[in-house]
Amino acid sequence: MERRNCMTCGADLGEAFGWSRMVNCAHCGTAHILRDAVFAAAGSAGVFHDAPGLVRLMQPVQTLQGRFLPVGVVRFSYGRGAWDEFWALDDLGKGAWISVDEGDIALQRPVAAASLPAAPRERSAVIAFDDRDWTVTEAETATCLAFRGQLPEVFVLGDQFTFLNASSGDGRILSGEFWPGGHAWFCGPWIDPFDLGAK
Amino acid sequence: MRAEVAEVACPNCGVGLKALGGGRVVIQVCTHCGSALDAVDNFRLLKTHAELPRPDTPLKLGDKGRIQGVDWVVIGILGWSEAKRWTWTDHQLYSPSHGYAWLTLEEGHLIFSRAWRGAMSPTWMTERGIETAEKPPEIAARGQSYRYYETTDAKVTFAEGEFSWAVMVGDRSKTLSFMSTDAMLTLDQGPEREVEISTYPPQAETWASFGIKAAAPLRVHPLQPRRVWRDERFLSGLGAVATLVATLAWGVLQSQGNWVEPRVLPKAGGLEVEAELPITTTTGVVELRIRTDVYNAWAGIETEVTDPSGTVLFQNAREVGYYAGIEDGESWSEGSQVTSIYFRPTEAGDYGLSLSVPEGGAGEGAGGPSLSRPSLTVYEGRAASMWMLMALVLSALMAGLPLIRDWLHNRARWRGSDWSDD
Repeated sequence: MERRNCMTCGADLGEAFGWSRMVNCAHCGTAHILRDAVFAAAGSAGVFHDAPGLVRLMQPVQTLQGRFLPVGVVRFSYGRGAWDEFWALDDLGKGAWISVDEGDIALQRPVAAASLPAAPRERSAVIAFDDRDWTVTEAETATCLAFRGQLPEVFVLGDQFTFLNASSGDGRILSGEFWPGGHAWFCGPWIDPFDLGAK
Repeated sequence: MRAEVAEVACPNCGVGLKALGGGRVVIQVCTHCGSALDAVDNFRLLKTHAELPRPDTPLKLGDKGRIQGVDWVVIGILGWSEAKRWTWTDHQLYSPSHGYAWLTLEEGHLIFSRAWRGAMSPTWMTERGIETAEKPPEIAARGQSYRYYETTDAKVTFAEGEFSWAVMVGDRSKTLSFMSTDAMLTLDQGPEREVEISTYPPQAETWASFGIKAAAPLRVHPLQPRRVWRDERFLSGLGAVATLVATLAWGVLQSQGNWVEPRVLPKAGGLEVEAELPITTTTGVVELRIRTDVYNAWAGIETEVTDPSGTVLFQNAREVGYYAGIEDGESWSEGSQVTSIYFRPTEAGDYGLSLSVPEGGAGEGAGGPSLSRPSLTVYEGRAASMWMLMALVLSALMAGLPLIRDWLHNRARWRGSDWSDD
């Protein structure tokens, strides 16, 4: 595993570049991108106002689905509020997104299926996935506000995308993200904040 | 988390309204004029409800307290009414880390509720499903079974502060409730299909965390855990030991006494028995054990006992009945073919006994006695064991105290359920 240093201040950026596509310097805040073996500084990682939360960067959390170490976080705005997406590694080093929004916490991994639409749907629309009907409960636009740590994708401050959340009543949340020329789907269980423990 | 909004001015009356809730607040109702403001659309005026009667609650907006180890702030207050008879107050709580919850004040009880997004089986239940069910429907969740409790159709009578859902005075909400041993799942029948889980927080501790001293409520709330008496387990254990001792003593007492051979007189016939009882001692009591062969039938037995001088000592009427059968492959029986009568002899000598069976019938009917002539066994010198029997009953009650109290408490918890087997 290759070690990298910050291109602005020279600080050690850690060792997680095996899977990471983006890392933020904990010392000076400069974001770095690794793309096609080219390592480059990407400028500011945004202002990250500290907010009370049950999930914190580099502090392991125990869920009913196992233990996770959040190694990176992206904050998105949905207008009147914001939520955090933590990129977290389980004990096998496999990554998942932990979404945290004022007590609404979900653990999601990427999913793919032919039935999942490539374009956003409105609230109350029904989507077929995993032999169930999923009703869209939320459909809004998100803006990337800031990021920290190590992330598996490249994020750009101010970038916007449309997202939707859907529920089938089985304790999971299905989320779709849509941007010009692309989309992605994620699915996983809701996590009861009272079941979440620090480990 | 919420974008920075600390205070907004009511567009109707101009009063400053504190923004206490987070980013999921969608409605803010003015504390001064009752105007509902759209928190998603720059606090646009939606509606005004003035002069609404305030619900009776000691909690107010901005009050802070601690429940289940989490610090909460009261951001909204809702008054509810069902059929104008039942009223309660919901307080919307907010925590930056745990989101939104409700603290309900109902007949002096505090109930803590929050959204439940975990798996349930079945995943949903409708009012129609309840109406067509033959037994109370159940939901499996959190490793527990939740049995149908009630359907509530309530109206919002008062609103003040911030709310995470678009609520207005006059709005109606229909919910189905299911209760387990310690929690309740409430299924909102609205289009959002939301599920809440409610629990009963420690009352005094919760009130104290909000800085309020409240009186203990009188009636039992469905979610209220049973209060265990300080010495309940000790008393129950003591009762169990006493029951064991009393049972052994009862057995010893029952084995005391001597068999007496009655001289059955030939003059009686049919189901009648005339006998002389040669009693030799006045110590203890005499037991007249009457055995019949009633089977799926009953019989009324009358007895008269005279002392050695021929004076009637007592008259007695007893009913014996014994029923048995097989139902769903299981055999069952109830009642007894045997009955005992006790009396204390006044002197030694020959006592007279007259026994007759004037009535009876097969099954529950009264078509006449359906049995052979009863047989008689007599013992004298039996210990008077009534006090021991009472001690046995009392000690058994003491041993079963927790179970009895559990049963009574559960009955009180389910008293408000609207389920009917009809």
